[in-house]
Parts: sequence; structure tokens; C-alpha cells
Amino acid sequence: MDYKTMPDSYKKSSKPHFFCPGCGHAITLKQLGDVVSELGIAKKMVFGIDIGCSLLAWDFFDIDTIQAHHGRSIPVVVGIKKVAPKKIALAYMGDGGAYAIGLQSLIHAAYRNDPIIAIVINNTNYAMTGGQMAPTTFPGEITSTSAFGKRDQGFGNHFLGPETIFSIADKKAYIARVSVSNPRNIKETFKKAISKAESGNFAFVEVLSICPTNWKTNAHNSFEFLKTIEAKFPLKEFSKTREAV
Amino acid sequence: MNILLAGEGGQGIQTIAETLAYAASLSGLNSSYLPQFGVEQRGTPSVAFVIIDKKPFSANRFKIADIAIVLRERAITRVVDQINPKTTLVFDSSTINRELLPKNHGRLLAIPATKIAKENLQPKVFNTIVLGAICKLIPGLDEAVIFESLKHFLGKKFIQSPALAEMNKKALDLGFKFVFEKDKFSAPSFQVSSKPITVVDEGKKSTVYPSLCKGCGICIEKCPVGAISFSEEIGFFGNSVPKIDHKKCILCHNCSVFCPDTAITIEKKSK
Repeated sequence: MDYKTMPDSYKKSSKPHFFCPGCGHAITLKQLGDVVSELGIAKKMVFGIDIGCSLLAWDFFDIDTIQAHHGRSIPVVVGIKKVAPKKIALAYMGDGGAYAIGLQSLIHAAYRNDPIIAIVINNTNYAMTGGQMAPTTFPGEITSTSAFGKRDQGFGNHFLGPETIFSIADKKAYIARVSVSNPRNIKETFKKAISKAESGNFAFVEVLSICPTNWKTNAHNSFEFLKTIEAKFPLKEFSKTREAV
Repeated sequence: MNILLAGEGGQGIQTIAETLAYAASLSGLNSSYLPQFGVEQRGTPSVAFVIIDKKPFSANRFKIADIAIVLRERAITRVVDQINPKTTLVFDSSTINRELLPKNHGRLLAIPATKIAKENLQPKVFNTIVLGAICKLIPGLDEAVIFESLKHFLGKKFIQSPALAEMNKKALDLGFKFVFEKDKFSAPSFQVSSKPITVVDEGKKSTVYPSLCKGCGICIEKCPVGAISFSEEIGFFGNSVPKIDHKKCILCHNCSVFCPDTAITIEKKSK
């Protein structure tokens, strides 16, 4: 069927996609699809996806896609970028893969200033396996493995990804945190990240996302809970404030 | 008694299966419930195995069902291997064409649940109607114990909205009183809308794709003027799809920007 609402970069035959109703992944991917279509870079792009909910983006775009293990989509797309320098390499992960299991890949890519784009979807839990507690879960948050709220003692505070990467990344790297409560801003940020990667620097965007299935919320309460998360994970562009810090 | 329920994720198959098993245990029978579905919430076949027996049993999975219930055309393939000429096959005659059903079944019964739900109550309670109807086929269960069991699983929602409890009670009653269609079946007139719904009004043109919409309600939440609401139309995933009030719409495009499923759009109509 001819869906006029979809960006050109979408693979229309694989729709409807496999994400849950109201998933933040799908909102983010739509903005990414719009950016790719507007910039006309679908042909020279490599899309790396990870373990977790992000692997449901398999067959999502009409773009060359590769899937790797937890957080390893970063070194895989870095390898592709080294072999084919004209390609635009993008790694798309969840917070479990990028911050917990595969953090070393992200840190070293930032440290080496590899010219790729890393997008991390942060919904403060391990969503695909049933919403277990993750490093990004904030103290007091109820998940399926922290029924009385996460205790900060013994489990740590919520992990701030961009802040951590910022402290080690190259000065020219682009680091930002955005939220699905403002999709238009996501689009602008992705455009900046892609242009930064094209100029030969590391670009890293964390997207605060909603997970209605594991939060057990409806549309209204999902965005209310996202506001709570936004208060704990400040939204900003880190490259601009580099001198100030 | 082995009962197989097959339908689509989002229809409430697992809820009615669990309710049935719990009701059986409330009435002093041995029962088990085993769900089977994919990682996705909606859109894929969802199957449930329920065993209700007077004697204790050891395995909670079976090969051949005594009663097989099919509620969506796409789920038919899931029951083909699990029925034999002794199986009672129950299907939703308002959405499934009889010709598509497998031939190796025993007794064939039908209930136009979608039609009853849509005409008398709301489309979403159709599973409760089915629940009321199939409890007649199981000896040892009655309407009261089924409602007691339903309260156990949906109690919180019932307290939040007493109207929902009332509606479920009515739906259960409708299903219980319904006499199964045996020879003459209703026409499968309530097919899921698959064509885009386009409305041209007030100089604006809106399109909603029921084949994509998963009914998350984000468009309704994000509309600044409250122009969007759920309509009567049922989408591909068994949910209500939204509709736009063209008079209220201010063309901010929030709905089409936020929609995760690219299922809704509205634009100015060029003359």
C-alpha cells in the first residue's frame, strides 16, 4: 500500500513495524527517517543496530543494516567506516547495550574520536526482557526487579551517559541529550550530529524515551513519567558548554 | 478438558484464558493456563492453552484440543494441527468466513461476538462476550464464578471505573444468554478496516491508516486543542483507531509528528 505519511527512507513492505504501541523507539526512528530522507543520504548510510528492543529496527529502513551484540554495533560500524570512509556510519542502541553491557565500546569510540554517530535510547530499564532494573534506573524507580523502588545504596545512582562520555571525549566531539517529548528537537539534533560526523568527529546523542509496556502507563502517564526522568537527566548540548565546564 | 484459545495479541485472549483457569480453580476443579505469544504486544497470533479437569494432571500442554476457539482469521493456522474430528470448534462468525476454517473438526459453533459487542456495548468488551459464551461449554462453571474471577484480574480497573465493571457484567450476560449458531452463521461483515480513512472537511484533508495504528493514544494526548478522539472503527491490531474533528484542528501537525506508527496525517486541502 502507498503510505504517504512515511518518510521515503522507510521500508514500506515491512510495516506495520514490531515495536509496542506508543514506543519511543518508533517516534525516534521516524525523526531519523525524516532526516535521512531530507538529506538524501540513504544510499551512503550504514545503520548498525544492537541487542535489545533496538533490534526490532531490523528491516525498518531501506538502508544497509547490520546487527551486532550488546554495544558492539559501535565497533562494527567504526570498522565499516574505516574500510569505506565515504559511508555515514550510525550505531543505534538502547541504554542496556550502550551503558551497561557494552560501555567499553562507546567509551573507546569517543576516546578515539571515531567519525560515527551513536544514538542511545534511554528508557531507564531493560525493556525487551521485561523491564528489569538498569544502571539508568533512578533511585526510587519501580521496575520488575526493584518492586519497592531502586535503592541507591548498593545499586548506585542513575548512570548519566553523555556526562560520562563528555569527560573523556575529544574536544571536537558532539554530545547531546534530547527527549521524545520534543520530536522536532530530535530531528534538529540528528542533523547536527550527522554533519559533525561528516566533518570527521564523534557524535553522540542520547534520547530519553518512553516505554508504556514496562512502565505500565497510558499515553498521558507515559509523558508525565518522562517529565520526572527529564528532571533527573538534564537535556542539553554538551559541545557548547565545553568551555564552561 | 483441553481448551485452546487462538486470536491476535491485543484482543484479550490471554486475559480470558487466565480468567477461565482461575474460575475453574475457584469452583474446585484442577486447572492450568499456558500462554504462547511473541515478543510483540499486538499484531501477532496469540495462543493460550487451558486445561480444566476434575482429576489432577501433570502436563500443562496438549496436542489435541477438546474445544478450540478461533477469534481472528490470521490465527486459524495456529489451530489446524491441534484439532481432530472430535474437537468442538468455536469461531467468531462476524469476522471469520466459514470457508476459511479447517475441515477436520467436530461440532462447529459460532458466536458473532464482534457484532454483538459493537451493536450493544463497546468493541473492546468482545472478549468478555466470548468468555460468557464458552463457559457454557465447560461443565462445572457458571456465570457468577466467572465474574468473580474477572474481578480478581481486573479489580483495580473496576474500582477506578464502575462503568467498566457494569459493562463487563452486561457483556458476560449477553455471552451467557447467547445461543450458539449451529447451521446458519452470521455473515463476516465486521472485517477489520484496512483501507485508509480519508476525510475532507473544513478545507482540510485527514487520513488515518487503520492497518498501521496500534491505538497507543499519543495523538489524542498530544493534540493541544483536543480535536482527536477514538472512533468506532477497528484497526488491524484489534484496537479503536482515532478520528480528527476538522472544526477544532489548528493544523499544528503534532499528531503526525508524534505518531510512532505513521498512521495519522492532516493537511490543508489545496484548491
